[in-house]
Amino acid sequence: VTKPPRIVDTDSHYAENIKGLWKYMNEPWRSRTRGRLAERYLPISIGDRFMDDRIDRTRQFGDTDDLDPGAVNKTIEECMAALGVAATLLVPNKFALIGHLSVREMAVALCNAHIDYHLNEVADAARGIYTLPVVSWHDPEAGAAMIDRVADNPAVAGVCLMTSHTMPPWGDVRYNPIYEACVRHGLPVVMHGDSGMTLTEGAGYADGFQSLIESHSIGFLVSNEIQLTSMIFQGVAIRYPELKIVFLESGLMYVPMMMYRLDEYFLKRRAEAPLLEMPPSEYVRRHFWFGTQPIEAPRDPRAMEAIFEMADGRDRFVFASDYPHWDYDDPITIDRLSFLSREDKAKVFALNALGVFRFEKGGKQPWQNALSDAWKTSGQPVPSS
Amino acid sequence: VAERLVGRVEDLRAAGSVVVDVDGRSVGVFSVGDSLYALRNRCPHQGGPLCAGVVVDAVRARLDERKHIVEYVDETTQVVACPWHGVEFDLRTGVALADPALRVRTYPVVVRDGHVHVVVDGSAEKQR
Repeated sequence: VTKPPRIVDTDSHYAENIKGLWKYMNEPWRSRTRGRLAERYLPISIGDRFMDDRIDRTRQFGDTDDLDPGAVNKTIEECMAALGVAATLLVPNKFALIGHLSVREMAVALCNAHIDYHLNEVADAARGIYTLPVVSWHDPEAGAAMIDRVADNPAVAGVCLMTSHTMPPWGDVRYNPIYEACVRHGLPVVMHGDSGMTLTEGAGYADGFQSLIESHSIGFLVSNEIQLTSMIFQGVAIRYPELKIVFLESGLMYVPMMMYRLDEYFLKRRAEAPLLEMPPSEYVRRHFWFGTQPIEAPRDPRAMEAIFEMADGRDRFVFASDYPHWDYDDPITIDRLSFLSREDKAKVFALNALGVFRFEKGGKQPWQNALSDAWKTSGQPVPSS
Repeated sequence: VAERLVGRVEDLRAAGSVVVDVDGRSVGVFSVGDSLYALRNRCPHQGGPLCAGVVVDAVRARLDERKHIVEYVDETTQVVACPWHGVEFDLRTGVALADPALRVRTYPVVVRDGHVHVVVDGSAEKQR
């Protein structure tokens, strides 16, 4: 099935083969990690994401550890066509737990190797396949150097920071070199969480969850809430007003909750965050965007309409599929929101993302024409970014 | 324009602040340095006795050349903090430091013949 390419997907994954990542690493990490990467860094989990075959696991492209890079590319394009995606942002989900790694130099080597692997074998701006270098918290200067090294590649659309287990959280001034590098190259930061182990290892009071439904229900969410709180009160948006920040993988309803909650705390404890010149929600409205997945589905549509109203969702929300993960969102999740006009849907599906991510480093790409055409033929012209 | 007597200026200077009844409304009158301020004694946050709160210099912050956060005390801005939840209001303007949309009514204060008076008039009423 091929649908018109009307969507910019701000979060997608594929079950990439990282066993070969050692080929991109320098010594000593090349020999230290050779052949053991996949096993070592795959997320541990307290449940099977595919619910013992209730969910079709072939969506993960079978055993991609045996696929060669060309075959991986083919599956990415098949998925894009099936969802109607003109451009996709591939987030390397096997790096979602990089923050939990304690070996600083290995974390730096892995991040550098992964972006080289992606740029060499997977990403291609002309076909709308974009990537994000992952910067871990361990060494901000090394992260900034990596951004400088790869930023000129047109397939780099932003920089990815993982929200799970970062010490200290991402609002800290020690990360200034990373944010400066992002601003220098016009790249947004993408805040991506992780799932089941966030609360089993990231917060001791959640140790002992008995099933994935418990840990996964709130794992990403708590990670994002921690990082959003830190970034707001430590004034990242004041230190770097040009920086655009996108949070993924926690749905939408927490967005207004956090806005109101942080506003109320700021009212009571302003002297502890004196850098802020406005209530926290005003910074959210100006500097932050939010991926839609996994979108909540209240039976009464007025509840979701209220979320869009409270958080300026028509301008701040960007569609994210998270395909092919078990909890991915089909575009129908936005299409069926009857309170959104066609113009609103064009914003959420494409226009907002076009304004946030850096897509035109290599000039206008063919997929951008296809995107415009897809909306024109449906009666809704979409200007390019 | 009407004025309501608060008391002797030297008593207010000594006490720092006093809460008085102005036409049935509780109003706090503050003496800070050479200045006098009057604010409605009701916090717009949750209704607390605002003028029973401490008066402190506002804490501010700036960025240094590395964009690190440098906090400092701004001696040009005095705030009263509501004793219920700590919400801070600028004594001069009645505006909450955390949210310009939140404000408490202020009154002009005059000293005549050694006595402090709160001025109650239409312009003050409009501030609410």
